[in-house]
Amino acid sequence: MAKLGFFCFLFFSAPSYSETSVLAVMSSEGKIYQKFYSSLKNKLHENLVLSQTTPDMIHSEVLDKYDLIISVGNNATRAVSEYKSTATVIYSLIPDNTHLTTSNPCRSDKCYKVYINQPINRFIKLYKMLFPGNGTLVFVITKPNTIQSQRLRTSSRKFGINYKEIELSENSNIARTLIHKLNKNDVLLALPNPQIYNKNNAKSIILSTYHKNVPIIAYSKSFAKAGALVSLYSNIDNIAEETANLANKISSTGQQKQKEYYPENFSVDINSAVSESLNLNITPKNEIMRKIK
Amino acid sequence: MFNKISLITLIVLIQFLALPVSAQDSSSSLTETDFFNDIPVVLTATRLKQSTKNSPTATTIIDRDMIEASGFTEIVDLLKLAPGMLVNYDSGHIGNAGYQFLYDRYRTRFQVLIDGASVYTPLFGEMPWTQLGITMDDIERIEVIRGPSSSSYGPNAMTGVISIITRHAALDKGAKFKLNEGVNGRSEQFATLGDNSGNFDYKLSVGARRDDGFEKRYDSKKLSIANFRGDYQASDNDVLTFSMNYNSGHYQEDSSDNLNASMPQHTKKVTYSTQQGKWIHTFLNGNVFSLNFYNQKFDDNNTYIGDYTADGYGYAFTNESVATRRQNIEATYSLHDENYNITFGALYRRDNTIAPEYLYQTDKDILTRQFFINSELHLNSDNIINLGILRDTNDTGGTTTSPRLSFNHHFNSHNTARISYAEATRSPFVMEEYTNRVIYIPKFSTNFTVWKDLSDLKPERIKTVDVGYIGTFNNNATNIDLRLYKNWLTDLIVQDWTALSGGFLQGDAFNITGFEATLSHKFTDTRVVLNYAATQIKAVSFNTIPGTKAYAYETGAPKDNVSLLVMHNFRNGMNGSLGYYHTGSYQQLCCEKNQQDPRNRIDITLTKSFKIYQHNSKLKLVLQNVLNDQVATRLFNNYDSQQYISFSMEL
Repeated sequence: MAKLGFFCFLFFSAPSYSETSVLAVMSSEGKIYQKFYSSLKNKLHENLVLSQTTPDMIHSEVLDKYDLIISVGNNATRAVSEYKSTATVIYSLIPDNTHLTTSNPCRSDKCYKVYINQPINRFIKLYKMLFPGNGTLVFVITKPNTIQSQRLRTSSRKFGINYKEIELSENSNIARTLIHKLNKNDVLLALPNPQIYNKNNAKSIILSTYHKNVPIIAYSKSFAKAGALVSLYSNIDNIAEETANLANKISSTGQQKQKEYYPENFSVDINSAVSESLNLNITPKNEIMRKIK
Repeated sequence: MFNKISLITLIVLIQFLALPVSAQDSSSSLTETDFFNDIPVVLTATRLKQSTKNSPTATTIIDRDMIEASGFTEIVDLLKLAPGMLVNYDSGHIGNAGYQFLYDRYRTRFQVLIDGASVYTPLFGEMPWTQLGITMDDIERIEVIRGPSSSSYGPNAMTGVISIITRHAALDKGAKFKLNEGVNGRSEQFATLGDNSGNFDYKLSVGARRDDGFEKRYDSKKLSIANFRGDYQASDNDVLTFSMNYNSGHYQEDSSDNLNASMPQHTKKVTYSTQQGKWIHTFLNGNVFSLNFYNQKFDDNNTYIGDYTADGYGYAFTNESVATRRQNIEATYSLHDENYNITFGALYRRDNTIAPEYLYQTDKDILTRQFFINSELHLNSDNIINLGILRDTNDTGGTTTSPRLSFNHHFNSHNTARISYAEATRSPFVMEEYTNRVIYIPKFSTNFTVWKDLSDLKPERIKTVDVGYIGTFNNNATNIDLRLYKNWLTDLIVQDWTALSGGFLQGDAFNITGFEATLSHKFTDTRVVLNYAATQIKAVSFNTIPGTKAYAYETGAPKDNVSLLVMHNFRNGMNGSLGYYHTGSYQQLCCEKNQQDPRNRIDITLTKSFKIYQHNSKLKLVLQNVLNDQVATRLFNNYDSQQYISFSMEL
């Protein structure tokens, strides 16, 4: 009996196998969040004990019980950032601050962000590889001088490529504007912006660019399927993996210096029917992936 | 006058109705759903341009910029922008086109499709170019497939295919009007209104056209056009397209130098209408199913009192009216992969013809059934094999099988070679197979059979061998397309015009050897498209109708044919173009014994774009035939230099 008591003492007080309690706050119970959750769970080290909840179930007391909070998506970010939690927080599956996001959710040093989108340089490298000639990269904006367009300008200069912006004024007709302003050798870079690239406008944009023989480099898998030439994106598994890697690092080595992460893994989809139709010779997918990694 | 008033009323109405089409969406905050939401499949295989490098047949694409720069107002004239295409006029409102050769206005030996639907008329196989229910502004592009293509498009795609693709309604949101006014009575007004309601994009176009035709002919036209197109995105993978086209007009007819001496000057009315519905479903793996229904109605109301006094028959009521109706349904399934594209499907068509005089009160139904499979197999990144076969059964031509085999080799990303072999057919048209032209002569109180059904006709046949080269350089700025071919045409159907004993017979044959070249280049502000074709016809058999000479066939093609279109952007809102069209000497449409002289035509356009109260506007000056080149033909189909001014505004 004494032996058993001693064993129990050792077992429960063992310092070498400390558990990190992790709460994943999912924006909803939707399919993409469940996929994210299961992928995250698979990639987390064993000592990270993961549970999940939704924004409507959280409050300060719940959050304070955990060592690490992983907020997944926009709704969760909004909900979690409302509370002053002492726990480390990873805001994942959010767009970077070049985009049209709400205010910065991070208020302490124990805060990290894993972005859903690709770094701009990755798109520029992709463009440069696919169109090494004297083309012009075209970016559609709704207002001038956003952080996003500043970064694009800087990046374009750095890589020595021609860059131009087409501004869509309020109430402008997208198809007409693109048809009037796009020129030969233009390539449209479509970066996520719901004011421009939404379900209603996608058709007009794809048709008018195709009408002008202008290929589109886009940000989502479905864009390539719909009619863009190529899409560069990270899927849910890629972003969950990036998030899990960060959580594992924090758990094993403490707080990290780097606070913002883009997904290291990504995919490139090429619409071969569009490239054939535009008579473009596109580098094979694997070579593209290898070169822009 | 009525057309103008109604059109101006419509334009005003459109201005009130035109709602701004917003680029903005109420929700501006970016969320993860923007990255993972599905977007409707827009560029389905049917909307994509043919790849010239991988195509089994030489293909020319006449795009929107070329259409606008050409300054042409007749759709048929646009075909001059493809090598080997011949365009000639039977009268001011009867334009004719032929690929490689052109003998008369009937028996079009290529297939003409509008959004995939075959539009020639079944009685004569004539293309009603002027009567189509679309305007120049409705056309997105024209793909001219130069070479026998029955393995994909069935009988009548004997020498090639003209595929007209109209603009998606989403491209024409907002309102627009255009007015063309010029010499020779030319007056044209067009208005378009496009908008969307949820997932439904729609476009309504109306137009009115008139001109006085050729100077020495009684051949003016006055017509109205209306069409509606709706594209409904039923789901991310399902698109339903509906279109309705209508064209109704009055056309003057004459006998031109007594070629049809019995026909007095008179006016006929022609109405042409179509309804088309198409469903395209894209599967998750990228495969596509499409179902296309098409209904076409053509009414050519043409009666007159024929003057047969010279033949001693007196006067007789002549009814050349024709009413045809086509119903067509086609289903296709396409499999796509990195290494292959395979399309197979079936078609069922019913052509009904009522032609009281030509078919003597008989109402003819022609049923057509087709099964086809076409595949593009990528053996590796450099070698492509195209295989296709179509089996057609119809009431005039029986059962035929049309195969095609081609091999494309990419030497590198710039140079491609193609070699292909194809067989194709043309089924006899209703008039050829069942002709029974009867006229009642009151003087003798009896019917006279002018032409009769002389024999049971088989399909005409063609075999072709084609060697091609496609070069693309300077990031696609420079394109070269060369084609060398030899065609063997056999079982040709010919008409014996002999009154009271004539009809249609079969058996002539000829070979065609030809070379075609296209060179296009895009400079910074200038684009040049140059086409050249050299054609030689060798008659092999020409005595089906005794006394026919070889030149009846051998003069059907000009030795050389050139088109050059130069488009220039002057950068200050000004655009200009220069079109040069040269056609060597070849047969007149009416009269095989007389060739018409070589023809040179230069067209110049100058366009100024500007804004009127924020509305994009264009003023365009078009000078046609500036050399005032006149070619003597028995048809008197010549006009002096012509000019018109076009003004358009987007509202």
